[in-house]
Amino acid sequence: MNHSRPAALLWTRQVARDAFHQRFAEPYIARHARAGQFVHLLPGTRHLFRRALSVYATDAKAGTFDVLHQVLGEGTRCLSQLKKGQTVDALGPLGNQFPVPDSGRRAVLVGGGLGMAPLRLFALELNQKLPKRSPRKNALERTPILLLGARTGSLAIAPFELSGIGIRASWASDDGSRGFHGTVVALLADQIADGRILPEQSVVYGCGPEPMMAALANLCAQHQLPCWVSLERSMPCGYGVCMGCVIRSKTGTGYETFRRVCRDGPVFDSAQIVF
Amino acid sequence: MPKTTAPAPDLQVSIAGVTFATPIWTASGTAGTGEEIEQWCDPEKLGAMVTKSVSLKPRSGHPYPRTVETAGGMLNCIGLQNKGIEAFITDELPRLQRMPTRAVINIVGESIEEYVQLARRLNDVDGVDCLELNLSCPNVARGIDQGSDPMWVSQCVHDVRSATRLPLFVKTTPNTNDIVSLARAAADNGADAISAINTLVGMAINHNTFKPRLSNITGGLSGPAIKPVALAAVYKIARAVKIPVIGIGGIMTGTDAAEFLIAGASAVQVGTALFRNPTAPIQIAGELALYLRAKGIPRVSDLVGRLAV
Ligand SMILES: Cc1cc2nc3c(=O)[nH]c(=O)nc-3n(C[C@H](O)[C@H](O)[C@H](O)COP(=O)(O)OP(=O)(O)OC[C@H]3O[C@@H](n4cnc5c(N)ncnc54)[C@H](O)[C@@H]3O)c2cc1C
Ligand SMILES: Cc1cc2nc3c(=O)[nH]c(=O)nc-3n(C[C@H](O)[C@H](O)[C@H](O)COP(=O)(O)O)c2cc1C
Ligand code: FES
Repeated sequence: MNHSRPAALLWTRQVARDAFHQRFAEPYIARHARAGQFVHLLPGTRHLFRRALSVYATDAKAGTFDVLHQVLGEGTRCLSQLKKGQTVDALGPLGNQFPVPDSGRRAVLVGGGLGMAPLRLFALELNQKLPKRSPRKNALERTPILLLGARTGSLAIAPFELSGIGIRASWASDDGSRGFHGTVVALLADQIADGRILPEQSVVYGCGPEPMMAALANLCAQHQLPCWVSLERSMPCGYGVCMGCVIRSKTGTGYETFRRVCRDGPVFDSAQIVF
Repeated sequence: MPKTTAPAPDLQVSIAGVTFATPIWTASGTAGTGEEIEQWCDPEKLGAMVTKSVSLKPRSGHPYPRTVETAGGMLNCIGLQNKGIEAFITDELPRLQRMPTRAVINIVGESIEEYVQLARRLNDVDGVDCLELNLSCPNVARGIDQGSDPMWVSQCVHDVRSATRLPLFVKTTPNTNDIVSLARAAADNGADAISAINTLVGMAINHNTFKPRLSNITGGLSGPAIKPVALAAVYKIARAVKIPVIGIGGIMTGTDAAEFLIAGASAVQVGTALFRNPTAPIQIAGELALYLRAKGIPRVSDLVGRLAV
């Protein structure tokens, strides 16, 4: 039988205004979590419900997992104020994973704000799948491309440890203070237009605010580019029993009009979703 | 640790001739149809699996947002999303039949005729231990909660009773000024037990946007916030009818469950607690056993209706 487990806080780092990177010791989640999956944390006894956070990093050997979160309300504030050694009750890993690209297609990871969290883990997973000594050209073709967006440069959080393995992010900021001036979806459009990203040889993975996911889905549809998006919903249970966390499906009817983000997702083929 | 010699308290209960391993069951709509729960709860230690309401035709339910956290509880307007009786029978019943726990199938209709059809259909298949009627479905055409009308409840329970041999539990709505009359109407027409309570109508508003927080504007309140209301309902119903009462509402711990039994319930269902903790029914059963041992009560059935007044 599966069950929830206590996860002990190892450390907290403030990475931007109201944004925190935290590492927890919990070996089961550390061993089993894959990119795209989330943990459901109970921040304090005052809360009836858990809070869903994407898994940002794992270390199976050390038995730790990381989350990256923005303080939004009471739940995330409680989390950010945990002291070293204190535990939260953790359920997980939950949800599905980002599917690996079909052969001949390169992963283009498009993250908005904290949406970068699951993409960072996915980039690492993909990188580990690359053959170690394959011909340089081939390997390069398959190294994931990472496009990240932030409202402004000061809120841009660099995904930790990725530059060390040769994956560098291109940045977009709404005010032009860092990288491309515009949204990260506009940056993707720009790179498609100038031929740096070839739709027929790419597959897009997106995570970020829903309006951004909708714009991303739209752009990809125009270019017939396969696109997977990770979605967020308020999640009373997180494991599929309450039917609260639903998203409208384009193809489903009757019972399948609404799909559960926690269990049928959080990663969906964007062509199947009504935003 | 000192070895205890007292035997583990006996948690088994019997309702309408059916035995249940424990008096702690899942509540309809909070445990799906078993597929998820069997990964978290050992079915042998679960008193019963009460399934999500199933209707004649598939139902899509209401759009998002369907839930909101409130002080000590939550509101939901899921809208009875389910795959309909035929798909339920082919996809879900085989697993429920295999699971070593009792399967209580909760049905919902928009008319008495629909309840009767559902009951008939389930009468013909294997794997159903008991039926639970969810009488809290608002009648779309008439625009009222027909389940709050004792006359309608009488007719509905009477007709379903004639259509099925299965043990029949009737789940009453608390959205009435007289839940006891509803329970009496059900008991007088052949119900084997009363399940109480379903959710209380409630609402939440975002004061910044002026918008309701639920897509359907109003929803049903559940969780610890409704426990006092549920306890009072169970207490009153248990005094008014001769059939067993199944207590529901805000049960989070073993002592919460004990309080419902003391008020007169023969078993309880755990709903919202499952969202916070998928192993809640098993934990609650364990806590109830500890409580009974501490009180020196050998059988859980000895606790039923022990209110000291
Ligand atoms: C699969 C998934 C992965 C997520 N990953 C991350 C992540 O890596 N980093 C991060 O910062 N945030 C992430 N979120 C969003 C995060 O769950 C919410 O920000 C958080 O629940 C807010 O809780 P709160 O108590 O601080 O805020 P409040 O606004 O006080 O929360 C009130 C209620 O609304 C719910 N809620 C509010 N906003 C959201 C939202 N956007 N998504 C889901 N529930 C919400 C809360 O769970 C709670 O029940 C993720 C959400 C999901 C569903
Ligand atoms: C999300 C949700 C869905 C529910 N769906 C149903 C349902 O389909 N049929 C039903 O009879 N009751 C349904 N209920 C009511 C519960 O079975 C239970 O009566 C109520 O929630 C009170 O118990 P609790 O406080 O332990 O949750 C639902 C409750 C919730 C919270
Ligand atoms: S959060 Fe309960 S079904 Fe998804």
